[in-house]
Amino acid sequence: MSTSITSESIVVPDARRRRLLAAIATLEEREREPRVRLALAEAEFRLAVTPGTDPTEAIERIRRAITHDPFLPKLYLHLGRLLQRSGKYRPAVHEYRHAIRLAPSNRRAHLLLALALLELDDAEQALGRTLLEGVSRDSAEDLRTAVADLDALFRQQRSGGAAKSAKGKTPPRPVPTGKQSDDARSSGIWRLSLIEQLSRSKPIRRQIDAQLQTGAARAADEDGGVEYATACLLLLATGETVNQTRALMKTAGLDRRPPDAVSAVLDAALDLAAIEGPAAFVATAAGHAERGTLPPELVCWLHFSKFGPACALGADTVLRLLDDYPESFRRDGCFAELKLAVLDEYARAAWASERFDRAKLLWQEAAALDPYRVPLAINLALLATRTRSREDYASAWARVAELLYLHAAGAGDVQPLLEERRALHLVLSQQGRQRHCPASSAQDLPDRKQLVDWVADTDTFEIWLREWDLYYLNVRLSFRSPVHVLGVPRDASDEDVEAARDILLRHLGDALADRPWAGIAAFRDLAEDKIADAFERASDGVERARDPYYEVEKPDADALAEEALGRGILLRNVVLALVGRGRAADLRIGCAIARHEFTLPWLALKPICVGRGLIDERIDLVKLFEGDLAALASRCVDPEPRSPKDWSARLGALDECQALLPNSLDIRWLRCEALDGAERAEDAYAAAVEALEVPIPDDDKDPDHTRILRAHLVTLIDNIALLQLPEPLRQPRNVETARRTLQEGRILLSHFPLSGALRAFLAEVLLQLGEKPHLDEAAELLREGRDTALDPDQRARFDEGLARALAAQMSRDRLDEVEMFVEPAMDRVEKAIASFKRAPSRTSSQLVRDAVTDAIVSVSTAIEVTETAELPHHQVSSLRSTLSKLRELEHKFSTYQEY
Amino acid sequence: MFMIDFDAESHYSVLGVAPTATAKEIGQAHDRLVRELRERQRREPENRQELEGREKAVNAVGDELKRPARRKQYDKANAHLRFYTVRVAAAPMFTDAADLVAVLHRAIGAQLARENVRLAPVSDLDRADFRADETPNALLDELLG
Repeated sequence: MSTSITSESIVVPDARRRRLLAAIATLEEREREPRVRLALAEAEFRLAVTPGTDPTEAIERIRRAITHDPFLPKLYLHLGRLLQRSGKYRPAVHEYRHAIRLAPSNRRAHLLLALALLELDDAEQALGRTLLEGVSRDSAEDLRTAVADLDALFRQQRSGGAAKSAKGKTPPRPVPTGKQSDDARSSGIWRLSLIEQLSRSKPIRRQIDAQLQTGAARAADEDGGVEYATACLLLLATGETVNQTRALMKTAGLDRRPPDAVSAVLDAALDLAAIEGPAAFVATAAGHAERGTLPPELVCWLHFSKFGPACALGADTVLRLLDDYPESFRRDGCFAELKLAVLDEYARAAWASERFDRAKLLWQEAAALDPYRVPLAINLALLATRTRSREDYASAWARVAELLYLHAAGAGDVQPLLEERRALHLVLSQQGRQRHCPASSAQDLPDRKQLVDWVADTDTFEIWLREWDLYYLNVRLSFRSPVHVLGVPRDASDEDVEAARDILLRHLGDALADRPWAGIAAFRDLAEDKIADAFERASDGVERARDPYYEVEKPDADALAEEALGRGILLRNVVLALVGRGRAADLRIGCAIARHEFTLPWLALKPICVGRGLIDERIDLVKLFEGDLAALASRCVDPEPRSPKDWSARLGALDECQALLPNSLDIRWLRCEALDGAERAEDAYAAAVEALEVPIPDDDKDPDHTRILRAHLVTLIDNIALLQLPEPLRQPRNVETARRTLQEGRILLSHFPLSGALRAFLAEVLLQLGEKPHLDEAAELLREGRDTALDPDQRARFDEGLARALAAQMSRDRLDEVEMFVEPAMDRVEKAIASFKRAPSRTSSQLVRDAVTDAIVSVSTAIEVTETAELPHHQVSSLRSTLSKLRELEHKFSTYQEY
Repeated sequence: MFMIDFDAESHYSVLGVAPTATAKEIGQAHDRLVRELRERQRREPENRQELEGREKAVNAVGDELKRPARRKQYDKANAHLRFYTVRVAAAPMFTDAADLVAVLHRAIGAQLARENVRLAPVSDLDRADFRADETPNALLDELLG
């Protein structure tokens, strides 16, 4: 049969798969009448059970087949089988149960159900053994009873009540009759029952003998002989002596069979097990391993049982013996497990006798064989703790955490090792708290001194902060009910469900941020997927109502909510203690605390707080915490920053505060102040401008305070640029200085265009200079200032300035007009007087009189114009003075006579 | 540097049992300790007061641990007690009978398969050929030719 790689990289019998896929495609185009649905179901089934089909695809195809034909027992049987093969025992049990409901006498389903139950907890295992016994004896009554007991157990698990069997008693232990039906004998159930017995910590010998008797009766068949020989090998491995095993073989007549492959394996195993000397054993075992005549697992187990830690040889001898195996065998995975098992057992013994150095060496050697083994990492971390090893402690526990997340990431599921993760983080969190704030329960609250001492122990406090969040996250991820994953009540609105999802995602991001663990990004993706899936399911009203896990998980969800509430109250108490202390150094830790506060599920916790009278219904808890953080930022200023370096240190903490509360004007103001103090003028300016752009909320509880803060920001912006101007230029006393002031000022204004004070100052200098181009520039500056004013007061000041500038412009224009006709007239007067002085005559005096008369008219007109235009008084006075002088001249020259 | 505190006394250490002890083991340990303390009270009347105090402490601890809900609460508040237990790092086949049997059974089956000896599967979990479970379907079989 040819094979090829499909688009899913699956190697499957090509022709069969192709034909089935084509048939499905054809059937799907047809109308879904019953015969088409049945054909589709069968086609999907055949594709699912085709050898080589990927298990995930196979499960999906069986599910599809079920949608086409939901009453076909074999579909549920095979779905259960596939789930069981994938390690999903509980879902497999449910599918088998469904198959039995449809086909109550199906032995295969009962047998598979029994095997799945044996993988679960004690109560399920007991039922599994009962079922196995019932299958073995082919007792329909026992099977019915066992299945009914299973149903009772399911009901109990859902409701949390006490288990009652179908007959009103606890599930019965299997009755060891040893009798089996012919069916059981022919199907090999006896071997399954034997395996189940051998798997117990205390097997029942009578049962084992009964199963062996059954097996021996079948040993004459070829298949029966192979099965019996296999059973003998298992018995040899689980403690039967060589002689006892040979006796069993004889009973079944295996010793009389012609040599074949199975007898070769059995004889080789018996010969190996019979060797007493360790060196000889190793030599023989190595030979078998090299030739492949015995499975390596059996070789390793026989070595472990004969020459492992339980034997009389010393530890060094036992370990050296392992090194005598050839390199090729030592590379085998099973050999590595053998050596690891030996090392681990000796290490645990060393630990128990407090020989910690030896334990460390042994576990480290074991860890070299498997660096990813979680129990080894935990043991090494416990060792570092026990020996108070400062150099190993932190890295050892970090390694434990890393592996716990890495394994989950590698498995593509958050569930593996979740309990270990939960326990690790809870333990570290509790220990972080107990150091300074011992409590018998999470509700015990420390007093203020305890809180202050605790915060001062930064290491311990930060561990508590960090580890509890990880604990909380893992508990949320452990829930199967979507509402409990998200931490919302069952009747939560869609908006609340969405908000809860967002909070949990934020919590996830913060909890896993900056973790330098391999695989953490993959784990975060898996967690996000789980949260997204929970959100989808919680958003579906029907699914939420049908949630089968809601009730059974509610007690744990409620307990987690209590813990979260206790955590929130404690966090707030710490913040309030820090606010009371007012120390600058506390701001950073305060921000860290606030970050943790904000990721708690306050939507769900608020009703509890209100119900207990802790807060009023109208209080918005998140806003309350935001206010605490703002108070922390404004009051933690002792000692006051004195140098740019002090301000920079404060700025770092304020940056964190602003990241948490981007819309808090208080914090933005404080940050601008710190930037200014740190002599970062441009940054302070930009930050202040940005702060003024933050919208004022409609429900602003303190509008006066907001107004004051905004005014501070405007003042800061106003002054920042002005103070960049060199001091000598801030008060120009002459034109030259004024020009330099303008030059520097224009450059600064390009950097700080919204600085009102600088703009107004430059406009004033321009107005002082008084020339038309200056007045025009001043008006333009003030116009721009009015258009970009940061608040009404500033706008009003610019309006006023602009009015002055416009008035000055108008004055200037009038003056220019006046000068246009006064100057020429006065020039003529001067020229006429000069001519008269050179050659006094009637003619030249007449010229003077004419020029003066014209000038008097011009100046009089100019006076009218200036008075009408309300030009400055000194302008009018100057013209009147000129007029007066002209009249004197007129009089003087009117009486002139030529002599 | 923060380090976990390993040696703090616990209810379990008072009774001399492991944190993972069963209810039966706890009950037995409690009874044994109380018996020993009372015996000592009879033999050492001069220490009666001290021994009575210790008996009272043992009773308080035993009372807490013998009640499942209170034990659960105590364990939750002291999660480190169970967590700080040395783990078995060996592969389950070296520590658990069920796993050993399962591993060896599979290994023997694989060994025999290499020798072309067929070991009948004990259940459907060991099978790969399910053609016998296919149901004839006229429409499908016609399409498959």
